[in-house]
Amino acid sequence: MSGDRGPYDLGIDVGAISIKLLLLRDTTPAANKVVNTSMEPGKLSELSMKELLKEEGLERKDIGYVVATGQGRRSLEFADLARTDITTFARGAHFLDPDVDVVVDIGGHGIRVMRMGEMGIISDFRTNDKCSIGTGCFMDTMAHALEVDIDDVGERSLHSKLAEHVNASCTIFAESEVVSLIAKGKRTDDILAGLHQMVARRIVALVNSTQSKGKVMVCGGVARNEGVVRELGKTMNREMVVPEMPHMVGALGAALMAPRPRERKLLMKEEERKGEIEVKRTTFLDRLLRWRS
Amino acid sequence: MEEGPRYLKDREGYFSEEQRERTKKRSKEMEAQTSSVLKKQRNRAKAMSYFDEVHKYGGARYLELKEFHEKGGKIVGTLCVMVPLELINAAGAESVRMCSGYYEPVHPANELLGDAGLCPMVKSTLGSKMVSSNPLVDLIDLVAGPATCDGKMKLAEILEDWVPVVMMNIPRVKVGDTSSRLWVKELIYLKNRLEDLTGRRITKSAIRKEIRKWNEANQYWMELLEIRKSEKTPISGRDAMLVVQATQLDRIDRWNRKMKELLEELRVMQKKGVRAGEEGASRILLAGSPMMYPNFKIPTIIEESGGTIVTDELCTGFRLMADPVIMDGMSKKELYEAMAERYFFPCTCPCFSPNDERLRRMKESIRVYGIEGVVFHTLRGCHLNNLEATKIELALREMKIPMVKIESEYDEGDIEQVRTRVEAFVEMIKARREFRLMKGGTAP
Amino acid sequence: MKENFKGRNIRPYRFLVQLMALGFILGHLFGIPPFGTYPLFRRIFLPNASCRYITSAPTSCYYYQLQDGFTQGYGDGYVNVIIMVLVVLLLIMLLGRAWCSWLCPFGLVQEGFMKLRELTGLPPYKLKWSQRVLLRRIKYAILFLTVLISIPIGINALGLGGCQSTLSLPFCQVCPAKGFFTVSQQVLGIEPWSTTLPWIAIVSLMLFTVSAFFIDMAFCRICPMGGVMAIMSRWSLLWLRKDPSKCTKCRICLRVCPLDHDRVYEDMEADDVAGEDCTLCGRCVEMCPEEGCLSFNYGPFRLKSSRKPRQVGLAGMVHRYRQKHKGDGGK
Repeated sequence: MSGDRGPYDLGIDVGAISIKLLLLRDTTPAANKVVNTSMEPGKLSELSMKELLKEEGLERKDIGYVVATGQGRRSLEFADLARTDITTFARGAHFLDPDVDVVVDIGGHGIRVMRMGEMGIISDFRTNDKCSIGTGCFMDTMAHALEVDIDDVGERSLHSKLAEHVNASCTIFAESEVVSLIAKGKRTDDILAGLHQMVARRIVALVNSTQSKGKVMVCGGVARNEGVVRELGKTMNREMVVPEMPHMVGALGAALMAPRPRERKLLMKEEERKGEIEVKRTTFLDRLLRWRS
Repeated sequence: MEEGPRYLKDREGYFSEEQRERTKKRSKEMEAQTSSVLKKQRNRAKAMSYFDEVHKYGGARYLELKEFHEKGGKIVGTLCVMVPLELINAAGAESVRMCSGYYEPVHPANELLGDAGLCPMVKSTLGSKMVSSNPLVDLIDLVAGPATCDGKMKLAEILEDWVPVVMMNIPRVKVGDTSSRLWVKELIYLKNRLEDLTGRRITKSAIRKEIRKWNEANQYWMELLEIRKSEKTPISGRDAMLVVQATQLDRIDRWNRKMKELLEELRVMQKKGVRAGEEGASRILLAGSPMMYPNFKIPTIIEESGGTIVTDELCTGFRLMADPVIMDGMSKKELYEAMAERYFFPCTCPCFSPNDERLRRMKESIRVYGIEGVVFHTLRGCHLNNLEATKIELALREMKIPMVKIESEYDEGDIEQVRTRVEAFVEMIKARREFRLMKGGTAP
Repeated sequence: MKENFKGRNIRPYRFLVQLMALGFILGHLFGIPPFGTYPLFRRIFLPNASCRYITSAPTSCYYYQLQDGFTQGYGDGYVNVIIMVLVVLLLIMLLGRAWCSWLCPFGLVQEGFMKLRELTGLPPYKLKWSQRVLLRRIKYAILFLTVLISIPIGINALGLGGCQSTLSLPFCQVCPAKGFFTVSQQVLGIEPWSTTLPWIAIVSLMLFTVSAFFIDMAFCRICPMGGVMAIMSRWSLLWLRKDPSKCTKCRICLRVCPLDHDRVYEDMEADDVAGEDCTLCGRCVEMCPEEGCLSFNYGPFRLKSSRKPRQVGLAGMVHRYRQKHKGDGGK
């Protein structure tokens, strides 16, 4: 049946804060797009898909499978498949680096830690959906309290010399503690550094609860924040990798989960050697694969 | 019993009429909604409609019990699976399980107790008594409350404000032969209180008659479990839980009859290869804290996400009808021993320490039923289950069986989070199965 | 009225076998010519209480032979004892300790006492754990004492020859089995009332009667033959097997065991749970409600397994008929 389908696969990650789309052709990402959630996710995804197709000069029939993931995956009527973000992030991470043992997804509303088994299938996962410290939502709230733009938060925390210790059990209490620190006249950069430390501690505790010692990949929207990444690198006692576009890993994994025969090809090749796949990649993918630790 | 001040009961007036009505209405709606979701399952056996009726809020069973009560019959409430229902029936009384599965009565209880991290089932039972939101609970004349877990123990004490309660000691450490003697003595005490209540002497032959009926029920339940072993299960996990929880509300001889019909129908379905649940659904074992109807949130999510619950390790599922009473000897003492030990020794409740039996039974079930994954659900504040979960998870990891732990409350707010986790778990299991098949193995 | 569980009965068959064993010993009452008087048959000894003091019984219990061997055998180097031990070893290897619960007439007598007590509605006296352990040890003590007393009596040099007439069989003088069979034969008119028993035998008989009424299998717990058999039973071909993965620890096996043998309940690792004290009466196998958990095995073959209880048969049918026509308008 896949002969009748178009050659591209579209992965849509409908998150709480933004919607990510990724077009995949065979094993090569062709295009991607990020849209902030401004209206109802179902309609917004459809609109974004049409925009993306127009940008790339393609038509709807060129897309073979649409796989939705993320929190709002069920609100898309035009999706062929819906998979949880836990599965898709693991799949995407495995595609990018098959040696990874633990994958951390720091998303908009929750942090998820996946322990990898064989072939990109997870063997265990943990979520912290009860506490929101470290999530994108938390970072937004803190940025708002400190009157800093969310994109500058990481950069500014790197300039701090001495971090202000922030110790709170929940987002609202953390916010009130931050406000009191501002009133005491502490520097914004220092407060940001303290917040990042707290976030890093939480995430590392969650990673350690999987009782594994292998390589960690950190992805998700918040992984774009260099401050968090640096703190994690300091606290995490093991090898850590961060992909170039960490927020797209979910959409990448979703597109890979389209039921095409390439799955079999990929999985069979795994048996022999890892890295051969890289040879076939284009420059775009080279950008995607540039590691930073 | 001395008539002291009834602090909690006096607080009843604190709840407004409007609050009471709202709780009742929402409870009724919740039960109706759960029931309609169950009825919409595909390939559901027709004989299940009787069991829906038994559980209906204010339904025919309630009217029957009300009539029985008005004619002078006595109704005994039970707080745990460990109370021997044969004894209650032998006294001529009807038994009703009081553990509440309704979400709404938690709010009045929270107002009284503060929003403590307590067992939500205890809060719900207390709340339903305070605002009289469950009409069945209002008919109860005596409550038998074994001191199994801390929550139930204190709940028994609190309920004394409204109804006389027989609190029973359970030896929570099951070693040596002294441990069952205490429980037998407690049963004899319960028997005396029941005789006082109903005014009827409980004779040995009455007990034997009841034991035979309940043994028959146990036999039918075992046959149902055999049917669920097959690859194409004709009955879903939720329906099986519904059926077995009906024994706590209904008359057992009628239940036996209806169960026989259900079994015949299921056998016909099995022969035709009709299955309830999706094609390729993963086989899940559900374990953990009790889930009373209509709190079927977790099983519903599991079965809507592509899993089938083929067996469970719950006191509101398998454990209710798990063992028969094997009578040996003609004396009264031996009869009570037989009855007491049936509930006590094989029970896998985590209130017992050490609890090797539960892990052993889980391992055996996994092997016999072909289980692919275990979902362990704990209620918030259920320390006993939470502390056992880690040991069970590590033991299962050795067997290469994945387990996911879900903590939940009597709340509909976390449905999406739970759904994500359960869906991810089911996807994980399916991927492992496909991978195993691809590698040339066989599905478990 | 007991439950009529289909396919789970062992006790009626065992009762039949016990009756046949008793018939073999009491054959002359049923017109079978007393072949016990033939010298060849009189030499048969069995590891159960097929007491010599039952007139014209064809056998004697091997404990009689043991005592006899020790008191008479000093001259020929106790060769009789050695032969006897080997023969008993062979018999135990063949049938294990099933000699006790399937073929021992005194066991039948004790079960008769148990039944009598059941009919009166009294509960049995269940021994505490410390008491059970003590009784288990006592049989070895009796065995040791018997051998200790028998050997010096046989040695002429010690000059205890005078005791030979009274104490040639030291244990048989106090054995309650002898006392019981003697008294029953006197009552039935087979034996003349003139046969007197020493006062100590009367005391032990009364003690036995009282305890057998309240304690299950009172004599079997201290039977010194059981001591010898216990040591040899590890080589028996007939054994009791447990499948621990099916065990739900319901403790029914321990509750129904007449000898309160707790290894069946406690042991969750081993295959063979018979141990040295189990007399293979099959009560636990009969009553275990899990399919295939306990079973009688002979060598590698499974003879009888525990089955799930099913209420079929006359009792169940009658019960259901009565329920159907009771006139209750259910749903």
